[in-house]
Amino acid sequence: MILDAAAKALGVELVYVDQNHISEKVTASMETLAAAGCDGVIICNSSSAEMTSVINTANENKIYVAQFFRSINKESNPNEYQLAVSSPYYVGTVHEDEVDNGYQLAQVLAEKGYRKIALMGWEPGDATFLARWEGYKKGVEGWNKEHPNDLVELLEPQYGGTTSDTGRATAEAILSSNPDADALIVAGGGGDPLIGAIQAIEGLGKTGQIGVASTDFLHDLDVQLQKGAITVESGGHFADPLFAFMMVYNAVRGKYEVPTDGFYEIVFPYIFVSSSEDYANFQKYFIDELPYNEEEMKAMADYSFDQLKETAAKLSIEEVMQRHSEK
Amino acid sequence: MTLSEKIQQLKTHKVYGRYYGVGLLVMLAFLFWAFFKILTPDNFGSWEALSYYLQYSIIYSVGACGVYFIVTMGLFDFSIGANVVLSSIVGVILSKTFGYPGLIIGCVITGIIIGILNGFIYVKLKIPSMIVTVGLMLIYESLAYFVAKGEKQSLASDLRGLGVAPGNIIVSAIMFVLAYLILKYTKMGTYAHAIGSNENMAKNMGVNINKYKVLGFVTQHFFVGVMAILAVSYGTSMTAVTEMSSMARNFTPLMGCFFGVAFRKYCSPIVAIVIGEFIISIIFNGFVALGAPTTIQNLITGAALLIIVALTLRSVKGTVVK
Amino acid sequence: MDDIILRAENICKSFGITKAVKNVSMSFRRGEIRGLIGENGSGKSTFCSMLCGIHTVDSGRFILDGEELKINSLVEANRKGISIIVQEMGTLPGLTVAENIFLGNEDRFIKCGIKNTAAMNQEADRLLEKYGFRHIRGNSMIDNYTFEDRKLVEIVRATYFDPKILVIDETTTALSQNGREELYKIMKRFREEGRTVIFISHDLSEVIEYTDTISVLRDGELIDTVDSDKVNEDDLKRLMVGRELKGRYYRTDYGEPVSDDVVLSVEGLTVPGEFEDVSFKLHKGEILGIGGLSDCGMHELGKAIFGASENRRDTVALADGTRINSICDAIKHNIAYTSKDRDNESVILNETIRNNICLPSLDKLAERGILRHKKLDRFAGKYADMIHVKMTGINQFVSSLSGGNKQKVVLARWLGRDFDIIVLDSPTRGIDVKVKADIYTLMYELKKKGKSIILISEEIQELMGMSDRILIMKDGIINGEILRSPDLSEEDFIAKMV
Repeated sequence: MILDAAAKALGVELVYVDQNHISEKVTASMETLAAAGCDGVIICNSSSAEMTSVINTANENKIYVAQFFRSINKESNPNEYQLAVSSPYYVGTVHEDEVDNGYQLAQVLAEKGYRKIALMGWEPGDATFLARWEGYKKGVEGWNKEHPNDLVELLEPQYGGTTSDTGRATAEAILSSNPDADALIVAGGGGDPLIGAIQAIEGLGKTGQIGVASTDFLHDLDVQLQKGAITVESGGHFADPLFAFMMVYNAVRGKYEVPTDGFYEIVFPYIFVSSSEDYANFQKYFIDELPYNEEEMKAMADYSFDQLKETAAKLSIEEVMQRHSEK
Repeated sequence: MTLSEKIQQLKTHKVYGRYYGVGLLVMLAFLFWAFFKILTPDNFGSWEALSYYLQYSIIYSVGACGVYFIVTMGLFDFSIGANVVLSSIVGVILSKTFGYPGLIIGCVITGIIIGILNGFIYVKLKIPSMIVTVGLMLIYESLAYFVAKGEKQSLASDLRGLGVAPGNIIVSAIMFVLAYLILKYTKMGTYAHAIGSNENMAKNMGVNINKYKVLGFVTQHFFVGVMAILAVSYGTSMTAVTEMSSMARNFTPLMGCFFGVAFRKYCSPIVAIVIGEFIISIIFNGFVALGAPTTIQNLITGAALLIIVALTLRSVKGTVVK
Repeated sequence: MDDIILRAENICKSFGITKAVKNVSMSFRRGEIRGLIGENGSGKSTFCSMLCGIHTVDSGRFILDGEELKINSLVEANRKGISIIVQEMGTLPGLTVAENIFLGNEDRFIKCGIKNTAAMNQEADRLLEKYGFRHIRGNSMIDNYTFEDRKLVEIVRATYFDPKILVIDETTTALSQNGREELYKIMKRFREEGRTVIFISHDLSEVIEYTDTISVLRDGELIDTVDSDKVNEDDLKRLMVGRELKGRYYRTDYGEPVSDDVVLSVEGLTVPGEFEDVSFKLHKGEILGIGGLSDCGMHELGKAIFGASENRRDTVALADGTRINSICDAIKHNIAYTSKDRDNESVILNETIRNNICLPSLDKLAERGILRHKKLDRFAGKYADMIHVKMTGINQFVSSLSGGNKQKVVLARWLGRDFDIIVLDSPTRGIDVKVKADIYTLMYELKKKGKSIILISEEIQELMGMSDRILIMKDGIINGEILRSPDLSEEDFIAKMV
């Protein structure tokens, strides 16, 4: 929706290709768009290995490309990283700091008094989960360093898949195996495992007693917050692609010169919601209206990169409230 | 007397022989339970926990009872998971207007329609069942996506009674009894085995092969439709998936079905399926209690399945096994 | 009442270009046991399969009890009072005995879609009791019973509803003497009750003894119908092949010494549960017969010699001491084997004659790992012709061949491999007299070339006629050894077999 709004505001034609995070389809989708005569592409790839062919296709066809929700890790994918750095058509990346995301969630739970936190991932080895897990651990370590007499324990993860029934079964298993656990982080997996986990807690009669943290807002988050079924959720980062769009838009227009010894990078913040009030504001300023209106999007198109980066970094419920309630 | 001879004597004993299969399965379930209980006594295997393990396993047991008909006939069906997804999405959507009847009828009728389509297309096109059902799986996945308009479907909180006791247990029990009755007391049961044994001979004996294969698919997907009711009532939401992701849901009912096939010589396959799925659930929960990684769980579950089936089937040396 | 119960009028049937049955017209009386004989491919099984609804009639008609018979399946034939016991296995594993007996006819036990399993089992038990097969239970799985017991269940299935006409298609070869006796009793009962039996068998002495009349088919045509008490075996053979079969078709030489060169040594060979501590030596150019009752262990011995037994103990070794421990060893050292269960263990039915013949020789036919079809065709054609396989071409599927020609394909395969030793297990089972003669001739020729043959057979005459030396087995052990002699009698064997 936000991309459609931006495209409309700036007179850009958008073409969508869904590749469902299948590697070969990611590669093929880039070629499809190149053949369709696109000037620029923003892409959410499945794994970094795919970016080799994506960037090569971009180079060959002189198409500007940027990533959203994803980045290329310099340590684990050095070849792809180098290719991105040296490419005159790889504009850059907009991605979330999953480690910080995890850190924040763990901190919120600790601050709210939870001391034994169980953890449910969705698929072992998933890069996003591993990054978040690192963040949870850092959050707990950070808390414990400052509160040596009031320690928090983070359990080893179990994996609940991406469906609500497997999520529920795993959550039930975790909580019956750890009856003294007072919090559960459902790391992700598309929302269904979280729904299942909430049911599991309800089935055990412990709604409101076990703190639940997760990423990616549920559609009924406000209800769950009111019930006490969810303690804190991070999400609302659907505006991430907008910034990737802006980067590519400006690259195509020639406003942003794409370096061949680096690329543009924006770390996009998550929105954290831990109360009904928070959610109500999120609903109003992010769902009922977009966080950026047409005017703001047009202005954003003329920002320098540093201005764009700053705009992204400061995005929060309060920031949008300030911008839009003033008007 | 050697161990083999003792076991053979037990199998053929006038009184105990008929309980050999059930006894063996119950003993296996107990052994797995005891294993984890000893290792982690405080957080595994209490009565309450066993009840959760069972309630999770019976969802797949219901599906496995249906899958048994197709597997016995020697056919394949890869659209089981796609049925669960599509049926539950239809059920949830209808439940918003019609409550429980909408949920139940939506899931069951969708399942039956899928069964009719699978069976009809298979017999008419004369293409191997594996290929037909993979193609149809893709279609059902896409249909689910269209029906759900790409949105997650959540079951209303006042319609989740079939996801907890006693609702889920009553529904499952009814389905187990139904499966047992069909296998033992109808021509469908006899002919499913006959077709699986020797289709040509069954045909020469006057069995309408095509009719009963279609019925086999319908029966399977009827049971899977009920499994969808239980799955969505338990998990409370369903999201349409594409790119064959629904296939992940095929394997748990299939594993239970293998118990039924392996133990058919010794006891009712339905009993074997129920206990077999329960064993799988015990293993899963046991490893969670131990804090073992999921990869180890899957490894051990797979190994346990292979060992149990291999020891039970004990094919004669030199027998051709495919 | 008309004495004639069944009339076949100008029955014709073709399979592709092959005319299997050509204008056959016959009548059958009530209370008659009619033998139906002919070489493999003469049309007798095809004729009966049309009568039973397994195949359709191309032209002509059957009139049963004055009414034209129009049936499309075996179940419809059953309903009209016609039944058949087939040559191959006719029960379904995975089902109970009762389910097998009533397969396709369960409706009498079904009410509102629900099958009364208890009643069905009860009825099955009553029938089995009536037939004297008390050791077989209706509610047991058929898998728990031996091949012979399953044949008995088939007999019950085919006859329990007292059909007007019972076709027995080469069933006796699959039965032990006890089983055959049961079958003969049923045939006699049918006769006494005024029912008709059509009895197909290659055992001419059996046909003469147990039938009233015998119809002879050759190349799809009816040659003659004769009274059983007015013909002998030679008469029947002449009618079957269309010429005098001069002399006997077994060997006629006696007193020829066998070489002292030992080619195969079997020491203390044991397969638990099958046979124990069998030892013997096989000489070059020798035909060593092994005989006994069907369950004496001799068939399992043949497999074990070929390395095909899983839990064999002690040794099979060549003259140079090389041990034969597996099928691969056996083939590598030019030992061949033909199984009694031809269709399941000797030929690949859904493959061509060419591929069947070439199969064990592919390693020597391949050129740098590549198989050239022309080379395979030449190879297979050579050996198929050598042994006179009756076929439309080398790419004909084995499934469409008669039993005798299938056996010839098996032998052609091993000729192509140029074996030194061959284990022939029941090589002439279910085969007509002409092909038998061909096989015996081949065996003698191979012997003369210095090839060594182990002949395992349940037919005493065959062992007596072809072997240089015969080992008799009983209950899994060697119970006697008899040397070739013109003075041998069956009694010499029976004393050691039972």
